[in-house]
Amino acid sequence: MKKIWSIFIVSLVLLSLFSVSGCQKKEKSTSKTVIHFMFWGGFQDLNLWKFVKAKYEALYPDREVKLIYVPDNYQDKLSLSLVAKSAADVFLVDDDYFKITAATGHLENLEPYIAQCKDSLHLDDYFPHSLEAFQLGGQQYGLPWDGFTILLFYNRTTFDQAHQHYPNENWTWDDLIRAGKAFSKDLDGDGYNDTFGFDASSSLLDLISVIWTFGGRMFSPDLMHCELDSPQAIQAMQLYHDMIYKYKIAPRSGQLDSKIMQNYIKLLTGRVAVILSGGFLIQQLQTIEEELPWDISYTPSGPAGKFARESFDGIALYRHSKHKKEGWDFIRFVLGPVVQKEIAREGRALPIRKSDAYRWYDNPQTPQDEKIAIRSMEKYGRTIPGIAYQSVVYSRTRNLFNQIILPNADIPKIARQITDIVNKTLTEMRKNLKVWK
Amino acid sequence: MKIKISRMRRLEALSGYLFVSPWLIGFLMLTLGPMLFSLYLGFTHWNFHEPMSTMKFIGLGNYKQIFFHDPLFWKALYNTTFYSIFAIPTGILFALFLALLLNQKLHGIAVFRTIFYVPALVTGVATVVLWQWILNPEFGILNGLLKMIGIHGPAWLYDPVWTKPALILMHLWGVGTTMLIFLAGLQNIPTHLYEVADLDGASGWQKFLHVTLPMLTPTMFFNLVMAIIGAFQVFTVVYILAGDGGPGDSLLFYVLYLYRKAFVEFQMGYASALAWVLFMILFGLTLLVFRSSSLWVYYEGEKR
Repeated sequence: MKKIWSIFIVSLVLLSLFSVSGCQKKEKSTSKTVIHFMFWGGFQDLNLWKFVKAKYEALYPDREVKLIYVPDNYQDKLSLSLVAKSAADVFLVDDDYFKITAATGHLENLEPYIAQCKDSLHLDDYFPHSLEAFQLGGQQYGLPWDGFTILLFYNRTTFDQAHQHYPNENWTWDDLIRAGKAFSKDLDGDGYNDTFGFDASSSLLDLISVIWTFGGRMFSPDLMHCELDSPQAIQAMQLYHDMIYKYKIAPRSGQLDSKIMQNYIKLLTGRVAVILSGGFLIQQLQTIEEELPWDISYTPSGPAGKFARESFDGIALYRHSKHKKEGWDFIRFVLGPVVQKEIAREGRALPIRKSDAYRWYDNPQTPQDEKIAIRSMEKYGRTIPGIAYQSVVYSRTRNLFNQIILPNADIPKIARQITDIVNKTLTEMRKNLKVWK
Repeated sequence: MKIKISRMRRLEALSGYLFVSPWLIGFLMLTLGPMLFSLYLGFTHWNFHEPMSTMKFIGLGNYKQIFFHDPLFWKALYNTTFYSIFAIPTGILFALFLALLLNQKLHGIAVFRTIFYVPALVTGVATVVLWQWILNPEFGILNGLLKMIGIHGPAWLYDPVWTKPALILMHLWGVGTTMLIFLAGLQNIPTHLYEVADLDGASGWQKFLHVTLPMLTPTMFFNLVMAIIGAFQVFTVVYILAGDGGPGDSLLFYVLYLYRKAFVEFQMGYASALAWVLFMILFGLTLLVFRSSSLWVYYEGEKR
């Protein structure tokens, strides 16, 4: 009896072990070719990619697209899947991480694919700099599919109440400071302002446009050295600090933290009259048009002119994909009119071709002139030159940039520290990678 | 007969091994295996993005870099130590204080016990978001209360001077589990010890000092070891509050720095070395507490 009992238990344990070990998902046996596509984003992005999947599958009935939606920590998950050689056939890459992903050999060189269908891609119609953002060593390892620039957003009512003219293309930083003083008020009499003329974080991504307008730049043209300790760059950083402590037109560190109070709420509640933000804010503000009479304009100019940082989202083909042809067809489809029109309609970002943007993104029924977002990219758009260790540079310097808006910040010292760290990172990068730009 | 017994024993042993095998396999593959691999990685240079074939053995290079050329390592260690020095004793004392209060024989005490334990049930992320609001310098309830008594509150999580005190304050919110363990310890103290103390005319304070505290030292010992390990491994809170290390790197805690090296800068070799340094620190501290326990932990019935 005991023997039978023991055999029963042993069988049970073995069965459970086998059932656990065999839990890897198997694709349903189907005659369709299945390609996997990995992407990030919010629910609107999820809807966009569901739309793309449906249209692509309708066009290619013998193919199926499996969507892998990663709402958070996208880069970590992509990196893990690349190292584990289990990445999706096609995936999104952002311009910050593109070069390291390409430089470490995970991306398919798209040049031969592009050469075969150059005419249908209309690359000459792409926004300036967008293609360069996804090149490594002059070769196209990814393609941009949408983009945006930093824009100036403002609350029209706040301007009307303060009898100020709306911002326009000629606005300078001096104009912003002058108008900002009219908005900044201490409402409860505690000695600290409660409403402000301006708000923007001092992160590199926000500050770089200002640095450019003062004639500074992040890297030397050969990308061998960091130049953030130049007098022009320091002047721009000092301006941000002064707007808080000298002119008192911007909130102190943490006063209107974006983690707690989102940008649209700052505008909606009248706490801030003007903010600088990526063009993606347009989509959010359009949903509260009735409560908030908002508008957009160009970023202010400085002594060296007007510049707006632009950012592009890219799409790439996995080098070890077993379905490269189908994957490339999917990329072409994303860059085609059906998807690009949907991107424009959704409004989160600009379609990647200028003509598509003018045709579909500008909506004559809204009170805002969306052409400003398009012209901003066309005329004033500039990207931070890409290097493979872009994300490492951001990670190592982020905290120093945050210090710019602290009360006792020694701006030249912070600028020198940032430059030192970036230069060390550049040296490390050149040591570790053969191709890095 | 003998043969039959030994065969049965063998079968019993086999079924025993099979029963523990899921855990054993899990331990070998998911704990010991990665641990040994990370020990090896600590002696290599490997960018997580690159194929494993590019891994380069560099001996003690990572450890030399950590101890002699990495100011952020020392900053992270300082922040973590500072936090531990204050958060561990205040957390233990606060939990003990609450446990003593909740050990009273009152009507409805179970309700109070539940109320005080509930915060420990709230997940780390929710707690952090809640505290972000409480500590907000502009519209946080804490600065609101301070304003009512005429104090202009600090910027808390945005001021390098106040970030760590704010974190210690947040830590006190989650002492429910420690409190519960103390409460169990308190209820295990035999009542006759208090009766004898009463007969001797001991005051409440004397009873606490000479009965409660000594009888509670094994519980305190357990809580202390767990608190040291927990304090040095703080991650969720600082990652959500200040993934970048907070103002002036004042919230760059050890595990956050390790995470940044591994998953932002992709330096897996360096991050593994950092993990082993942390392991050695924790091992040393735990050993120290264990060694010192003979001096201050009292076990009933133990021969001295």
